[in-house]
Amino acid sequence: MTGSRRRAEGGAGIDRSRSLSFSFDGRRFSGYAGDTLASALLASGVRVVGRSFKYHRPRGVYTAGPEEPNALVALRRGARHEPNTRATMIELYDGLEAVSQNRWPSLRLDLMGINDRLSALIPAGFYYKTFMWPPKAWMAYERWIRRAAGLGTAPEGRDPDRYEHRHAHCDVLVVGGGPAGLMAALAAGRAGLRVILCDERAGLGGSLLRETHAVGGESGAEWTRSTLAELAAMPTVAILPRTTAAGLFDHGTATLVERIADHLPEPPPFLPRQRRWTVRARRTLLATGAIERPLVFAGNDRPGVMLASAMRAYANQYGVLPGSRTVVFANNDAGYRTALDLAAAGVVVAAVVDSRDAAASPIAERVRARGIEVLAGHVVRAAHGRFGVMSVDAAPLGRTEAKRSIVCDSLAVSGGLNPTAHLHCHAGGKLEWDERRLCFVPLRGRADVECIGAARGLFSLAECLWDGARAGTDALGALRGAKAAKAGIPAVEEEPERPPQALWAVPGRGKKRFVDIQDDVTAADVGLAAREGYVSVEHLKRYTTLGMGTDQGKTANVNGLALLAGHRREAIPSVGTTTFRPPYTPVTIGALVGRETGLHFMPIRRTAMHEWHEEHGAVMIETGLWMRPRCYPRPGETPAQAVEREATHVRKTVGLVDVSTLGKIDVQGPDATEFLQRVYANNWASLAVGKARYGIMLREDGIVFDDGTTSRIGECRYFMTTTTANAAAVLLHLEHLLQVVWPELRVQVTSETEQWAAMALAGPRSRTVLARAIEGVDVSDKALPFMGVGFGRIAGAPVRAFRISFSGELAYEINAPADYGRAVWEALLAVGSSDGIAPYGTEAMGVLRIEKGHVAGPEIDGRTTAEDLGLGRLVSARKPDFIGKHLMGRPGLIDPKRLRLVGLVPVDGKTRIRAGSQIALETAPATAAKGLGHVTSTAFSPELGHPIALALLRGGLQRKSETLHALFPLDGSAVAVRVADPVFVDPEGARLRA
Amino acid sequence: MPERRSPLVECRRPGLHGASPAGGPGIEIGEIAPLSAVQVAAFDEEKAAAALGAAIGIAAPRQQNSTAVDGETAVLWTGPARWLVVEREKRDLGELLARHCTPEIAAVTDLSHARTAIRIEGRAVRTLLSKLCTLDLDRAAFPQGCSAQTVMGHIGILLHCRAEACFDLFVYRGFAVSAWETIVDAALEFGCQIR
Amino acid sequence: MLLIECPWCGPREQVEFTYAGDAKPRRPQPAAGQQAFFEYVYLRDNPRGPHRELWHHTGGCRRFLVVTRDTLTHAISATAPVDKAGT
Repeated sequence: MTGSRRRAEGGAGIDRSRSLSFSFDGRRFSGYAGDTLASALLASGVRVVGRSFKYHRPRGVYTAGPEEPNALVALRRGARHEPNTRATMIELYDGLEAVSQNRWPSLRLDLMGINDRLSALIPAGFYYKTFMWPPKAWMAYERWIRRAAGLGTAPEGRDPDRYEHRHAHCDVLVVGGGPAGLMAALAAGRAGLRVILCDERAGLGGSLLRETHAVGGESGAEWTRSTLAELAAMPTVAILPRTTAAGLFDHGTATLVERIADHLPEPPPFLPRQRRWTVRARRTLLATGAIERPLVFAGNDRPGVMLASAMRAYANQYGVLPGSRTVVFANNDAGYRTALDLAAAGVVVAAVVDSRDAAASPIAERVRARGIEVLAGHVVRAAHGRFGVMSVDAAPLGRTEAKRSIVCDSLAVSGGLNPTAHLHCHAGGKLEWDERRLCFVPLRGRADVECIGAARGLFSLAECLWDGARAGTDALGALRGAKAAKAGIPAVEEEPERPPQALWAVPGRGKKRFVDIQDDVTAADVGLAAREGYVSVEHLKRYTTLGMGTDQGKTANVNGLALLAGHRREAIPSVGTTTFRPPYTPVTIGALVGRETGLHFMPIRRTAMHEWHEEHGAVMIETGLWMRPRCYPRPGETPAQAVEREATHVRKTVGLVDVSTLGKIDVQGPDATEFLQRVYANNWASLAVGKARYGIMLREDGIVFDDGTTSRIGECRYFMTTTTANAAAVLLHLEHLLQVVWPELRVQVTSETEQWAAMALAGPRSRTVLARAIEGVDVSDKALPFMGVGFGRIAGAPVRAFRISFSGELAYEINAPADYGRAVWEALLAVGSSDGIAPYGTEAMGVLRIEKGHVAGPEIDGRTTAEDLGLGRLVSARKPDFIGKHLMGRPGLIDPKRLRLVGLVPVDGKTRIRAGSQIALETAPATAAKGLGHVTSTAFSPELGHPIALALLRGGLQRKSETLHALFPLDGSAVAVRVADPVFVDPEGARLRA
Repeated sequence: MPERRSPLVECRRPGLHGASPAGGPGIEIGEIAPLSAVQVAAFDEEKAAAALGAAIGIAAPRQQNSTAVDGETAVLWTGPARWLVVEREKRDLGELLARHCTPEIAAVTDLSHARTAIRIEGRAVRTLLSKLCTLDLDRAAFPQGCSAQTVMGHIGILLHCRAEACFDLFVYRGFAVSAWETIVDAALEFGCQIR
Repeated sequence: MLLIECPWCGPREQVEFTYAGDAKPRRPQPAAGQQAFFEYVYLRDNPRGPHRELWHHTGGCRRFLVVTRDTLTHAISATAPVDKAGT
């Protein structure tokens, strides 16, 4: 085990009494509780943690936060393997296993490192330009490119962990637990508002933990601790650590991702690894802080080069010294603060290189007073050292000749701060360029979303505290109209800082100066893109991949577009920024999916007879969310044989099918009859109580919407059925008509689909069976004729018997209250056993209806009129009004050349016709495009002994007996077919009236 | 009359499931069965409310999301001039209400078999429900006596807060098994006692 | 994800609602003729800004409501029951 070589005194964020062991690339290391993987690796002297995306250059930890471009590692093994995690955000735990990525065979010896030497040959756009020809070779190229350029590998196996969703509501959502966020939560919480305070890190405090300012006489960490204790004691405040606000959406919606168990080897039993929160906040305060910009110069990606803010964080929070001899390079005063913090921690600061001209500055004087050299008006032109910085070249800005080499093992860089305004932009907020602070600052957008503190460009601690308190108080005013007492703002000691200097890239030639370190985009690439005409910032992004990595250019974008502005000779604001889209940082798919996977992927809708079907070997099939029995194969039977047997059985004897999924709507009220008159295209005026009628519903545009039987079960009450697929749509349609179009009609509609178990008893012996099963109903043809309704009992349960038929046979549809459904189903089967009753599934039901030429979903396809479907005679010519009446007569809908329903049979009497086939005069596939129609439903007809089909054919039955061809272009097959009447069985309807 | 068969009969496994926290299970769930659930949808709200009151002796609630409870019988407001009367089956509730609410006054629809009632109680009940639906379930926002129809994923539900830590959840019968499985799974972390 | 204030049930998530189109077209009288129905079914304004539209509270009280939504910002300035919204 390698010890901590670079651990200094201090480090309030770690617990030195709790040592944790972990491995990186198989080597064992140790760290402390409170460490991140990055801080522990740095403490252990690990400088190279990965290889870059394109050039495979060795890279080290670059930041201490979510913006990390370099230190992407893979965590855990097997199904829990997770690639591309940022070592700077991974909490160390005992036994953590991490491996580096994008290197082969090892970090030290990466053979793909050849790309770096060949880089002159692979500039921006290289892949686009090179691999275009020949087109077919792309697959081969791609495999090579994926190997050479890429990040981690996907896990193998199914993720074994749980994920879940949770919903929350609050008055104020505070994103970010730094000084501004804590003060805002405090002010809002003290006023009694419901507050959710989230922070992406395990410990709240933000910069208070990373910087050395005293707050109200305490250290930042101490003040944070007491503030959190006060917040935690407030009943209306919820604090969510380890929770990233991934996106902000309309009407105060925020998506948060809480990492419940990522800091543990495995999630505790029954707890999710991550939880996605959907928060509705009346007000959202974005205290998301700011991200430091790198500086662009040759070799600025070398391991050991690190953001100055990160170096301070490692020294102050974790007691980790990223080097022993450091140069600081900045265009702003952060350089001096960094030098002082590092010196205090025991680092030798070789020099502070400040690009700005010398000016009287107290902090610079203090640095000098510590014996640290200050090179004002200088820049670092290059950093040297392939596996770690060994020296840097400093020179006066604009004068290359006076180069000076400074030996060092690390380099802190600061190019100024960018407010973290991503979430603000998710919410539609705009940004404005601030010439003094040299950054984009958020413009106030939606009233309910506000950036506070550093996120709006207030970079001093005092301003952050003040702004947080103000925003919390303002929230109370906006939400409750009340004024709160001003929260006491703790005093801080800070020096005023000099403004930064614009320094988008240190001039240089030859050596790579990286703009986007993760994507290996250099200043030269930006120049090339501009020369080649990619002068829109969005084009620049796609062409060079600037900002397209997993970090989405958090450190890179502003430098990149400032350089582009330089090439365009325009001001930065006129170039603009690319669009910020959610998520802020990558989100695990599992967190998005939540519980909706496996058993919980989608709910299953079960009929009352569901278990019976499963117990009796039914092959089930999804119909929307419903599960229905497709068929009941007997031992040794294929499903197709079962379907044929079941259909034959219904025609010859008697069968029973579960039709519970049909939509059922209770239509009640004094105006119910008038309502049906207007809803259906056919006539409903004369239906007697106790009678059923087939109804056809049109849409207002004249196209058929749905069909079904509806029965009058009382003077003011109808029982409507719909197709399974349209049950919800029909109810919505009726409600629309009653509430919006005809509110004067006194009718109530309610779904009764779930109230009734429904089963169709069909076949020549169905009457015999029903007669024995049912009490209280005379089932003779005279007493219960076709389209009659009877009320009685089966097995003691109250039932309704409707004499209607979908199969074309003598049939009854039996409805029983659902909790009795299985009892009634079993009673019918028991009573019917002497008549050879057998259950049949939806597939046989489909065969029977196709034989009978009854239309269903494939024919009622949203394009067909009643006339097209052969139902034109049903449409009332006399009713003054019904839905669809006024537009169904439009020329295009009555054109005789429309597709009309026909039957088809194969000319050879045996070849099956495939649903979806195109119908043509010729067999040549080329004619399919100008086909005559298409096949909608097909079946093998047991009754006829040959295949049959329904089709929509131009000219319809005018083509009866013609021979045409059903083409199936997907496999080039063709079947010669003869046009026939769509009613293949019992066209007179004698059987169902038997 | 045969015995009513609940859709949950196949999936309800009594006992403690999931975690066993020191304070006992955080969730207890069970079914209210057999259920009577009858909808009264009024054409004339005043008369219907009066008729409903006359039928069962409970004043129909007129405020949105409100309820009126008398023992095991509850009248839930489910929309303007619309109520759902629920109780453990003890009489022919549909017939009783239809007798009082004539067709001119209201449409009465018996939905006793169309709904499955699941009672969820325990100290974690509000947290559990916040995993399942989008409602604001804060004690102040959803107090005792409050009810709401909402969706639980793809499933429409009706929630009734009977007491601070006791909710009745009504779900369409066909979805009852899936709803039950989802609720139990979400409750495992709290310790889930199934009755 | 809109938050829609149902006049009957209070503020609810968009997932409970079904969008039902422009609230403006009114079904013509039966004798109004084919052209009037054609316009009712097909012709719609496509405003940039406030738009009065029908939503159905499918997962709640099953009432239609008129929502005035800004098509640019999604901001909802008013919701009302259909009968009180003057449609």
